[in-house]
Amino acid sequence: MNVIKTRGRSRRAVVLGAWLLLPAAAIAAALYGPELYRLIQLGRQVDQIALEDIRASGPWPRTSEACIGCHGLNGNAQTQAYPRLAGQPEAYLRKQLSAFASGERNDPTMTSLALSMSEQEVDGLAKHFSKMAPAPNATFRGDTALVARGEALVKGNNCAACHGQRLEGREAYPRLAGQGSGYLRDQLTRFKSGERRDTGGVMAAVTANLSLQDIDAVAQFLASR
Amino acid sequence: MDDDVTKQGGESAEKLTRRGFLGMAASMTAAATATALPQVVNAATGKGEARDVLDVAIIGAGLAGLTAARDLRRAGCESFVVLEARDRVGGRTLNHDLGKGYFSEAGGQWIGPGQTAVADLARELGVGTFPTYWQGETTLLAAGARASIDTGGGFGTDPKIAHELEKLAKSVPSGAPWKSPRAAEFDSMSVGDWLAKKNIAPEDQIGWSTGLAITGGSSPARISLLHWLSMVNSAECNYDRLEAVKGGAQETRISGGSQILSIKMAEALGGNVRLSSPVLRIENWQDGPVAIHTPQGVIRAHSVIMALSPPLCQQIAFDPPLPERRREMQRRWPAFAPGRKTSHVYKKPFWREKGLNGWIFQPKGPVLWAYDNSPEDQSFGVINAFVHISMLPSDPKAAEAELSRIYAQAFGEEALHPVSYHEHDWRKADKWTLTCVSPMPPGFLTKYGEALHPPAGRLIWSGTETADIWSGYMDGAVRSGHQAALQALQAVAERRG
Repeated sequence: MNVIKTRGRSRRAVVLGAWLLLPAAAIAAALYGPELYRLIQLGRQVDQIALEDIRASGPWPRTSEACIGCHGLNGNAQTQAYPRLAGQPEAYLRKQLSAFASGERNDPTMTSLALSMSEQEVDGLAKHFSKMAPAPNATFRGDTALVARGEALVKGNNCAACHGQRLEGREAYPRLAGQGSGYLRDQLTRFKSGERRDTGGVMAAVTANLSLQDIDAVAQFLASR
Repeated sequence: MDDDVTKQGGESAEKLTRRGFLGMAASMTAAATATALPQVVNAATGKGEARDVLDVAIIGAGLAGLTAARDLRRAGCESFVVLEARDRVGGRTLNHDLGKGYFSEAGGQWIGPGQTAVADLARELGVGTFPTYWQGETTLLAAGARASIDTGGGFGTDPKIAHELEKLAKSVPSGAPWKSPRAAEFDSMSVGDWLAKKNIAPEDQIGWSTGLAITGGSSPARISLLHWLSMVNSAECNYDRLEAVKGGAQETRISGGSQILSIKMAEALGGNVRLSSPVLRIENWQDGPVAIHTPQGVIRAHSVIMALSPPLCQQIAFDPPLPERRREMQRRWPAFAPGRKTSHVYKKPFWREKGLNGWIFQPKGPVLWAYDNSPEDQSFGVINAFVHISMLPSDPKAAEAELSRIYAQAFGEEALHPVSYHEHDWRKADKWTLTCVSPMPPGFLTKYGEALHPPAGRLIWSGTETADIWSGYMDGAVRSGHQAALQALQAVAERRG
């Protein structure tokens, strides 16, 4: 594939269709010296990235590529507004995708996406993201006092009972540690308003006693973990 | 309600209408208010006299809705209103104001060969156009490596495979792909499934994934081959015309930024356009007069042009409910390609002097595609980028700094110091845009496509998604506006019969 066409006087590489600019092709286009060296280096890097992707996420084309935009590379979103999927329990991910499809949970983006996926795709994605290592939420900047207040609220409400000692999530309960602060705030607010519901209504009960400021504190503490 | 939607009493509707045109308020004629129109009727009962019923109500003041309104007026119909949820016009076109009368776009922005509807509109409105800058070398960044090469204004998709797609696209009508004789076959697989049979080398897979993300809004595994072929068909079965800058759909820019088209149309329509008027509920759409509920009250009209995307129709309550097929189509419509677009503003387009075109491709990083979006006279240098929303921090300052570092790797140290930075995350900015383009998954078009066009009672469906040609583009929006106006005028003629 790695074609470099020579049209008239200008060199034209087939860029997107051929990231790997092989030395041979580069020579054909009469490149030399540092320019040639750079192309070879770049080609090697691209090659390595492609092979890493296959190793980490399976053969191409990959359904999981469709998630990168909002959920980040390997499910580790750098924004605080979109949820981080890396390391979420498989059962939780599967349950949420089916909740979006059934209308039990609502989001304009996720509802249509979940509805468009086969069971096999849902299964593959749940497995995939549960296996990804959650990276620390490095872009989060919290307010120290609010984080401390949030910690007390998380302990007081015994969130660890369902979400795990280190808030790492288990089975149908999501990982909360390092989750995006904006996303957490949104979801807690939705549980409080009844817009989002959980089986058994535990989250409704917990959030009923939280003020919006409490919710912010809890979100900040969890994001900082 | 979203934060940005100012709830106002009916009495301030005129103020809102004039205020919102992004600094254009001063040039608006004060006389052009809604007072000349049959006004909002009793909000509590929704009832009004027969004379209070408008010929046409248009929902959505984007390119489609405003084009339709403009056509109605040109046909001599004055009994109409355009209702817009936001406090601005333009829909999925949006200008960042760079100062001194210059703009960079946060949304749809280009015109390409064959996109004659939007090109004509620009000419009629006295809006100039100029070529997108592509001359020079494109920069490729992968991990620590950097190289630059002349790509001739294109994305350089493998011409052999592109040609195969062009041939297949001939049988897929762009406006109704489900009518292709091979619709079932093409809609049963994704572009990725089809490409997988072509033994694409691993390093080329990245190229296809990037190309489809930029043009199609999702990954090859998630886009129906039938849908992709319909897009190629829109481009007259010429792959470059779809994908490239030079000779393609990204070839031409609009002086004053693409939103200027909507701003100019709205200015001319004056008080017939009502901002901050989200439609909450539509009643009696079957036989009319249709009652359209907004926070400012109820508007009644014989016909309604629905100039908004199918999934956005979901946010309106319909009484009685819409036909099941239509409802299901709206619910399942792929609304999952939101975008985040950034603009770095520099004193000059300094990269041009270095023989670079300002483009960056980055196979594993935040930048999907960065490109030179400088004004025609180079008063500023602007690098715009389509970025992966979540591969950059939420905080604009942090996002700006991270992108500046990437640009410095590509163009040199000067890139570290932009004069200003603008960004727009469409999914989070407000709730009135759900998606950029519509990446149709396999199986959708053959199952629900038929429900896209047929009017439901007095409701005429418009918006770029309904266009016969260049659906999903600004051109498609304009075409759909013309089409809807014709339908509405026909209804007016029949009533007066």
